[in-house]
Amino acid sequence: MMQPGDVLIQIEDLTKVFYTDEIETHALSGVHLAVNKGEYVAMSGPSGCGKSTLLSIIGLLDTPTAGRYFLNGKPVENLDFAERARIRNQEIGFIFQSFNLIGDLTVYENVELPLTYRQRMPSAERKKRVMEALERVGMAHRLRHYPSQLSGGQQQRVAVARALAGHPSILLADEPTGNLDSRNGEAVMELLANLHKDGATICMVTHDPRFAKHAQREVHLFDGKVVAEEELKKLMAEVQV
Amino acid sequence: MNGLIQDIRYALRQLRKNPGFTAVAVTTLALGIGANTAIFTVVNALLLKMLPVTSPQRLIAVGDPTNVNAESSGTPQTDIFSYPLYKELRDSNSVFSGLCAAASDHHIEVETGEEQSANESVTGRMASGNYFNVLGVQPAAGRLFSSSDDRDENANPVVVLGYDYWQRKFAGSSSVIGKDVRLNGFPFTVIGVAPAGFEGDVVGERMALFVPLSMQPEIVRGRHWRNSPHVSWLLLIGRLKPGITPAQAEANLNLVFQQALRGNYGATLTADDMREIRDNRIAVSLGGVGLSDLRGDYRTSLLLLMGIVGLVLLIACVNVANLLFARASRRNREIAIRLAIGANRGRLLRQFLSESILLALLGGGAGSLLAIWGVRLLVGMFGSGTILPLAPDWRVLAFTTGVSVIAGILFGLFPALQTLRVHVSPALKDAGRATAEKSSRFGLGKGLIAGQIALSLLVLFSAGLLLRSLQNLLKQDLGYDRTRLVIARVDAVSAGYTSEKMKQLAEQLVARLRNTPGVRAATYSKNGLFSGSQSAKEIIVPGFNTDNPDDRIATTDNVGPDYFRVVGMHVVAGRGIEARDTETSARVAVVNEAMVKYFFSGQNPVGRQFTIDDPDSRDKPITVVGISHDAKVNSLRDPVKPRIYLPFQQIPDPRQIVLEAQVAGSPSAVVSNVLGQIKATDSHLPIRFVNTLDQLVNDSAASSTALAKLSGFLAGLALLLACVGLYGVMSYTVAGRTREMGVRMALGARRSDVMAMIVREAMLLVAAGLIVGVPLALLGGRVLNSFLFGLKTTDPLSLITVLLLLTTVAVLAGLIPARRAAKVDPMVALRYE
Ligand SMILES: Nc1ncnc2c1ncn2[C@@H]1O[C@H](COP(=O)(O)OP(=O)(O)OP(=O)(O)O)[C@@H](O)[C@H]1O
Ligand SMILES: [Mg+2]
Repeated sequence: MMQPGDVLIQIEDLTKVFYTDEIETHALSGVHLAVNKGEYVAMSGPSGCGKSTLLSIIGLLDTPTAGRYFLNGKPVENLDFAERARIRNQEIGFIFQSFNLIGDLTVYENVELPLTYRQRMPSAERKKRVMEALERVGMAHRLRHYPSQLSGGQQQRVAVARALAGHPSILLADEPTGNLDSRNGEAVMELLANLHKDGATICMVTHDPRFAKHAQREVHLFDGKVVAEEELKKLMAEVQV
Repeated sequence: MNGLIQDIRYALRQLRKNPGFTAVAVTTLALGIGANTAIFTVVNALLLKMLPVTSPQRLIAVGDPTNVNAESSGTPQTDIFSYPLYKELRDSNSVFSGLCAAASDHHIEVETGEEQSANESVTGRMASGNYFNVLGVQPAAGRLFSSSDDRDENANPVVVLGYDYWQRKFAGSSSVIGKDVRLNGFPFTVIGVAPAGFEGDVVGERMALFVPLSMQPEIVRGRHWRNSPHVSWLLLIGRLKPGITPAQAEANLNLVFQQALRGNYGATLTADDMREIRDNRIAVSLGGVGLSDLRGDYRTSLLLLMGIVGLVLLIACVNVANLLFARASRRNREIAIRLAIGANRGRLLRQFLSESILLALLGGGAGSLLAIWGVRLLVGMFGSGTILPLAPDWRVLAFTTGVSVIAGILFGLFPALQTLRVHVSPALKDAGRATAEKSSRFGLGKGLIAGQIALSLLVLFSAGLLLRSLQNLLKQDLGYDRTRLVIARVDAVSAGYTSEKMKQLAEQLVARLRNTPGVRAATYSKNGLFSGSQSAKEIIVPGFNTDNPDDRIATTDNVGPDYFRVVGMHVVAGRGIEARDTETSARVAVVNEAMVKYFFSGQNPVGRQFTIDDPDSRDKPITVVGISHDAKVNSLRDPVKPRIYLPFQQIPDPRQIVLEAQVAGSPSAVVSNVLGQIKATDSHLPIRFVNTLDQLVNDSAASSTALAKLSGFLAGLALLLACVGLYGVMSYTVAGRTREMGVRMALGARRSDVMAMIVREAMLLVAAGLIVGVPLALLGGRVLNSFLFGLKTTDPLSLITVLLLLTTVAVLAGLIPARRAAKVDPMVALRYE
């Protein structure tokens, strides 16, 4: 069993290059990162610096061009699609900027969705997990509603519940407040803070320095590299000149 | 008007802007409309088109207009007519300005006297002198014969050529007028040429020449039919006097008929004849469409095909409607803007409909081209000599245009109304997140697909039933081996053989055939197997009592020695007809099992006697000497009827000879040998046909075969269209749900999960379609009842087969979009647009 403080994510010298129409984009070049179990990490940096790319590699949505990635101590960069789908399903909970609830499914069904991709989970167990997750985000009273009948803040809370339902090792959030007004944004941030207090490991991309403060640790990215805060300020100042 | 032109211009621009959409829609419609046009062209030619004569709508057919090429001797008839009865009707009616008569077609040997042109056998008709006059036909050259050319028997050796024959044989030269030609060896003078396009009054046949009825003894030599009330050989066409209705004509003709029975005509009839026809009513029908026996065979089949092809068009319309739905949702913004700046919805609706009707007309145009090819396939369903007036006329044009416009409104209206339901504000804000919006706005399209599946199941099931019936029909046990016989039919009457000579001829022909290479055994008969000829007689069986003479009818054949052994019919008791059964020996008969069952209540009749119920035969009892196994002899469909086989040599007038040759190897290889032997016996003997029995049997099922094959073809088309529709809708929904697929995969769905989901959705549509479709198909199957053979309208095997076929093909159609869905990059979930 892992204890708090154990390394959950270990990334070494990671690079990601996109090739489009003969143009090479070095989205990540030589990133080192370690996230411990129970940690709450915020990632920030200017637009296009590679935050989403890094998050998608951490979330096994994408594969690195080079470098090593250990999740729970196991190398994952060369797994096949089905194996990665299984790990996404069991170890990772996603929260997206645009909520990404499925319009044809009710709140309940949306939260249940990741559990339906899990083999042999009894429906009673599924129901228990869904209800727990929805209660956790305060949306249990809206089971039968469709996403279009909810406000943005409510949709994002349902999305958080969906990420929680599978009891993942880590929650990954890409600008979870990007589509919300500040009041609703605060509420979601508070929710994440509470989840962290109860032991969740969270990796969140955000632009907003106010929200970054919720995290224990802030990782700054610049042009595909992790940089120290002072260095980032210096680089940003250079860019502005 | 201005608005309309503007609409059309706008519609054209829209169609040009989306060439892919336009191409797919036009192709789909072309298939649907083209199939309709093709079948309608044939329906039009056979059932609707008027003869190219003066005011064809005033012509009335008297008798049974499908009973062309029938001749009957014995009891007088009123569906075809004897010459004396025709004369009575012609001279005493008060409803027609003229009533003409024509005989069945005859094969006529033509000698032009020119050295290089060989004798030729053509199809010609004998017609009354007033024939051309009543029909209102003008000559293309020379003159046409008239009543004065048709007075005394044998006194009018004149011939009118058919236009095509004139062109082909005489290169359209007018120098042929006045020339002599020999018809069946007798000299005739060419007096004129019938106009182009006029093929006679029988649809489906092209007459090479016409001769007056009074020349019958030269065309059918040695017979004198003109004065006999007992030979029925004429079909009649009358031209209504102004103001007379068909109903009045019918009433008047029957009045004349009853008067004739009481007058001179009746005096020539026997008491039996009187009893038979006293209560008959002469039927009339509209004659402008001409007479046709094909019409009887193909009418219901063609109407059924018309129904099936209508369903296919409906399926095609659903596809185009769905394309429009898909496009409409892409045009939401455009429409919202138009509405916002004050366009009125009615005006927009008109614009959309102009566009879809234009699309349909383009489809109709392309379909007409396909139809040309389709019609060529369709005429294959009729016999090879059939010539139908297939050139498209205003009716075909109107049909195609009408069908196109209706189709355009059908597939255009719903998508147009749907589009106009757009709400102005949200569409303009364009804030909807694809995933958060319910996709049920495409529900109608999916509903249509389910309906389409239901319709294609109906079409498939119908085709399945017809194909299985055909298989049952062709594969049944006929009671003998159909693969070992060659059949020939010769017209000895036309060649002038008397009864006595004909009996000798039959023996001579068989003697020659027996020595023909490849032939193992041979015999002859009057009707034989699938020769197109049949006979029936009322009989009297002691101990079998019934009031209705129709209940005492048995079919008959007159057969030569060894008939049963040669054709391979089993004699189950007693003996067959043998060489010892001569004209002078005791009168004997072999009867079939159906006869034993019906007339002898299943008791062994060998040794018992019966008589044929006509004045010449009543005093000549016939002794049953054998029982033959039941066999199908002239129809694959009809159940075996009671049948009597009498010795050919014992009957007074056999009228024709059908030869049967049993062959050792392949029968088709022997056909030409048989033909050669007949010619060697008498080179002037008209040969109706020489063919393998197998081919004759298949020909007898030609209309069933054609119907089954065509419905199978249309079912394939329906299946294809339905699957394209399913594929289209699934592709469209998948394309609109890329993000959803990405999210599902981000949440841990494997590719197989996503594929299974899309296939499941497709299958749900199919299932919905089948839930509606199965009862629909079972209901529709009932319409087919009269077309089926050897299976029920609810045949489970057909149903299961088409269900499996439909489902399999639907799964394949669903798999392509499903695979596309599974290829979505899960990264799209992270992208924010
Ligand atoms: N699929 C792709 N193909 C090509 N280039 C890509 C692709 N995805 C990202 N990039 C490029 O990689 C770089 C990093 O992109 P990324 O989305 O990670 O930035 P980001 O830090 O998330 O920016 P933002 O704050 O605007 O979301 C950018 O230059 C981007 O254009
Ligand atoms: Mg980003």
